[in-house]
Parts: sequence; C-alpha cells; structure tokens
Amino acid sequence: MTAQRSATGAGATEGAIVFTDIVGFTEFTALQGDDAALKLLAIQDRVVEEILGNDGRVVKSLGDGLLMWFDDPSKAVHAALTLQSRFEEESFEENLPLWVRIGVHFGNPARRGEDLIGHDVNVAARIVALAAPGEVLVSEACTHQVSAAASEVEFEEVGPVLMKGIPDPVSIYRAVTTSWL
Amino acid sequence: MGTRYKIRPDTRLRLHSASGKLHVIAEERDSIEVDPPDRQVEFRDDGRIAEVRSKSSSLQVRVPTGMNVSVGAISGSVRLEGTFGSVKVSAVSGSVELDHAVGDVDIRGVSGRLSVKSVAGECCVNSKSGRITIGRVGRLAKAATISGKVDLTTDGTGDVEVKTISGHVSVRVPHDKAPRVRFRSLAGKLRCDCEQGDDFEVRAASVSGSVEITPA
Repeated sequence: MTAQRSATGAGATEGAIVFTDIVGFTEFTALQGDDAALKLLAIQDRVVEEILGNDGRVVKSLGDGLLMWFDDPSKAVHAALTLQSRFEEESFEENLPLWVRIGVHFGNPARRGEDLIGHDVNVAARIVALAAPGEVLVSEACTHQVSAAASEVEFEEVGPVLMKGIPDPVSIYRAVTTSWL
Repeated sequence: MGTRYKIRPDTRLRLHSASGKLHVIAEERDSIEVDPPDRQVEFRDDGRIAEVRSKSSSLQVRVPTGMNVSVGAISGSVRLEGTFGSVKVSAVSGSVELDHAVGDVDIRGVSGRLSVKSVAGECCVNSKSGRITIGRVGRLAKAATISGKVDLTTDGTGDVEVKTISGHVSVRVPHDKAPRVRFRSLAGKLRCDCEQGDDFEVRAASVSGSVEITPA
C-alpha cells in the first residue's frame, strides 16, 4: 500500500481521520514468522484497496496499522464497517487472524505534505486503542457529521473516555450497520 | 459525609477520573452523594446526566441501586460495589472491579485487571494484557484480549464469544447445559470437558492461546 496512492481530499480542511490496527500483530509475527506476517499485511492491503475506491486515501502505513483520510465522514464510517466485514471474511477463508480494530474521528488536521498531524489525529489514534477486534469506534464529533438515513449506520454509546494527553473526555460510540453490507 | 444531590429516576452517572481511586457504591437511596464534598456535580440534558470529574485524588460516590453508570479513567482503580443498571467503563492502566449489573456491561482497558461478578444482560470486556474475570453472565458474553488470561462463567442462556492471541481462556458452563463449541486457532488447543449440544454456543478463536471449557 502506498501512502501517496491517491490525492483524494488533498484540499479538504475538514474530514474523517481513520486509524486501523491489527490486534496482536507482534505476537502473531513472533509465533508464525515474517512470511506469515507479510501475508497478513498483503491481505489487509488488498481489502483496503478494494473498499476505499475514490472515497478515501491511505495517508500512511504504520507497520500493521493504517492512517486514512476521508472528506466525507459518512463514507468513512461506512467504509470502516465494510472493511470489518471483509476482514472477517478473509480471516475465515485464509484461517488467519486478521482481527482489526478501527477508530474514526472528525476534525481539522494540519497537513504536512501528504501526511496529517495535529490534535485531531492524536484523538483518532487514542480512539483506535480502545476498540475491540472487529469493532469500529467513532467519536461523538464524527457521529454528528454522519447522516444516519444515508449511511444505514447506528451508534451505540460506549461512554466518556479519558485519553492520555487529551485534557477533556471524548464521548465514544460503537458504529454498527443496520443493513447487510 | 459527602454532598448530596437529588436526581431523576433515569439519571445516568458519568465519572471522569484521570488517576486516583474511584469507588462507586450502589445502595438503597434516592440521591447521589459525592465525597469529598467539594467535588462538583454537573447536571446535563435536563438532569438525565450527572457528571463528576476527578483529576488525581480519590473519589467516592454513593448512588441508588440499579443506576446506570459510565466511567472514563486513565490510571487508578475503579471499584463499582453493589448492583447497577447498565455499566460502561474505559480505563487505560487501572483495574476495574464490578459487583453486579442488571443491564448490559461494556468494560474496556489496556493493562489493568478487569473483573465482573455477575451481569444479567450482555457483557463485553476487552483488554490488551490485563486479566479478565467474568463471574456469571445471563446473556451474550464477549471477551477479547491479546495476552491476558480470561476466566468466564456463563449461565448457558446466552452465547459466549472469546478472542485471544496468546492468553489462556477458561469457560465454565452449568452442569445441565450442553454448549455447541466452535473453536478456530493456529496453534492453540481446545479442551472441552462438557457434553456438547445445542443449548448455546461457545465461539472461541485464538492464535496460540488455549481454550478450556469445563462444567462449573
């Protein structure tokens, strides 16, 4: 997966920041070896390529995780749920633990070339750390931007979350789909 | 003696604690009491939410039995004593201990020990390396961990779903229930000492963690 694969959203000032993380990737690599780890990452990359289309872009790869950007928060949440569905299918078919957690936050990050930095990126990174395997957690700021009717998504409150380095509590929701993806 | 606040029957308590010990006691009463008394309670949404923030010192809150509670904590322990409604807790490094909940429970942490005595509703507990102990669950029980040990007891009325990378998982089921067991693993082993049937389902997946299902 190349970080500069697409320039979608390069001029947008507000949008959705999406972090993914493969749960237990370090342990999996230690147990199964580097080739198995590369295979797992290749599957993840293939699925992400397939789902993202022109709706979002991969900003950068973070080892076993990805930082992605979407201009449209509804599309970000929908893509995150679709990714989880596809990761689950691939896990079953390949008999590999492609257990991914995803965090989504809406904000206005600063751009540094193709990269994104700033407070909102940090918040999104903290959100993904709280997600369970197969789960999509979304900040309240993002839920306000999502049109429920358009995206067939429901949000279940997880609660207020305090995060290291973030002074105020962030209300977090679990995104679930109301339709078959 | 703390400061008392009148609440509505449907008020949900929200607590934010950066560090320090947080102790919530559910008991027969119709108000909440916050100790130390100088800790302010903010009411939102027409009193449906009572919010208390604590930065570093210990905090004790007494609430009515069956109250819904949400807690966000970074470090420091969270103790929920008595019987609550629905409970949602996120903690980074501190331990979380819940006695009983008649509603649904969602507890997530990173490294601290997460412990629940009984849940009548659904119970989801997620940790990176902390040990997970779930005493008894009436409905769906979900637990996920990377390396922490999981001990879970079910009533056999709801399914059990466990994911672990390398942690050992122990599921205890009632003697008179026969679970259908689905186990997927790369290198972990399954030991099931129960008669298998269709009463409910145990779905377990691991990379190297072993899973043990035994009669309670």
